[in-house]
This record gives sequence, structure tokens and C-alpha cells, in this order.
Amino acid sequence: MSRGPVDPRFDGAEERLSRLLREMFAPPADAAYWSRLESSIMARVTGDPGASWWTVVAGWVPAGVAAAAIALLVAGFALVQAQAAERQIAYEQAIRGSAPVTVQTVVRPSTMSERDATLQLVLTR
Amino acid sequence: MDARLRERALIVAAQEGDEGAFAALVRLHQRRTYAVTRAIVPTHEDAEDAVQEAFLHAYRALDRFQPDQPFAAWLNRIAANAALDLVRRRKVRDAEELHDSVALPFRDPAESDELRRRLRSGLTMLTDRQRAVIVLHDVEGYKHAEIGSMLGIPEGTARSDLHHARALLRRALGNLRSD
Repeated sequence: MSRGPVDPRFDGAEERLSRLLREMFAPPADAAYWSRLESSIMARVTGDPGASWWTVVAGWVPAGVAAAAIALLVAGFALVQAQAAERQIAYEQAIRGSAPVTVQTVVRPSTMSERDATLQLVLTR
Repeated sequence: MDARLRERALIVAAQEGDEGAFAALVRLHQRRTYAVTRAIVPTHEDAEDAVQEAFLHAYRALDRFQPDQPFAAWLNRIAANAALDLVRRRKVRDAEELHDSVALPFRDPAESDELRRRLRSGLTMLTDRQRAVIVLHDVEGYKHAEIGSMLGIPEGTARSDLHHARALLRRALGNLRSD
């Protein structure tokens, strides 16, 4: 490959045309562009159809892990809060809802001795 | 190590299944392969697609390549075929869309210069082959015989295409100077 000589019949016009064409058709100068293109080519060449989407998904992984951790923390906090609220409600209900206990008392007649009372009980059965 | 020997070693390694060696060949040749395809297709995006196709074809045909032959010339022919095939497929698939893209094939928002506008306009008046020939010759510096080999046309046809393309583009630019 070598550049042919410019035809002298067209003096500067020919060179000017070539210069404009070179500017117009110049390949990208960015090194990152060629690096990306090489990766795309190799993904196709190695027959790894998943390479492209894996590359994309791989980019999501750190964000996904962070989001999952945050979601777990929020869920844990909500669970603790719910349990505390439940305990508080149960406690308050227990306080408010407790009725006075009826206690039945039996008073022994003072005129009867303990022995007589026992005897009476046995006889009445 | 000599560049040619190094390339030969990479080719042999790639033929034995070393993907890293093929990646090194891609790195060595992708820029020129892009230039070949860009001369033939109307847009940068098409050129990129054609480059990928070309390397895929090359990889699949690598075991049939003789390492003593010039790899660049072999790859250039594959790239030119991939680009020509892409242009043909586009023509068959969507003639209307192609017509629009050919009407304005070299969109560059940064360009406002009248001279370049004239040149773009002139390029749309060339046939696909004439445009490919003048770009490969004037931009990439290929000789007529090399261009003929790449595009599958006789050297004389490449020479003739170049002559006509130049005459047309000179007229397009010359009009501006007389304005």
C-alpha cells in the first residue's frame, strides 16, 4: 500500500480534494473506540452470544447488590418496628381490658365451733 | 521480533485456536479494515457492522489461510466483500431508506463549511464503486491493482472509476471557487 503521486495537471486542486476526503473519511481517533470495537468483534468471534448482555448485566451487579442490601435493612427495620408496636398494643390492651376479679368468701358463723361445723358438713352429705 | 514474523506467529497461534492471538490480529488490523469498509458503505455505523462481519468471516476461514500469504490483503478482500454485501442487502431490503441515506451519506453536524457541503453533494453523484475507489485511493493510499483486487474489478476499471470520480468531484468543488 502506498500513496500514488498527485497528478501535476491539477496543481493544488487535486491535493485539496484528497485532503478533504481524508478529513471526511477519517477513522475515529479515540483509542477507547477501538478498544470497544475489538471487544465487540471478539464477543462475536468467540461465539459467545451472551457476552454482550453479560457485560451489561455485570455493570448492574454492584448497584443490584447495594439495592438488595438496602431493601433487606429496610425490611428488617420494619419488622422490628411492627413487633414493637404489636407488643405495645398487647400491653395496653392488657392494662385497659383487665376486669376486677370476683372473690367469693365464706364466712364461718362465729357461734359454731370448728368441730361442729365439720360434723354438720359430714351429716349433710 | 520482526513485525511480519510476529504477525505470522499470531496467525499460526490463532489457527491453533488461541483466541488471544486472534484478538491481537484484530488490534493490528481493525483500523485499516474499518477504512476499507468505510470507503464502501455510506455511514460510520454500517462500516462498523461490516468490520465485525469481516473479522467473523476471517475467523471462520482462518484454517484455510496460508500464513505465508499477506494477511492484510486477504483481510481487506474479506472486508470489502462484507461491505459490498451489506450495501447489496440494504438495497434489496429497504430501497427507500437507502435512497435517503445515499442522498445524505456523510452527515457530520460539525461541518458547516460550504466546500465540504459541495463535496458531500458531489459524492452522492458517484456510483458506490466510484466512491469506494476514490476513497481507497486518495484516503487510504491503495494502488489501482490493490483496489481492483479488493473490489473484484480489473485494475483498468479501478483506474477509470478513479478518473471519473475525480473529474466529477473537481467540478463540484470548482463551482464553489467560481461563485
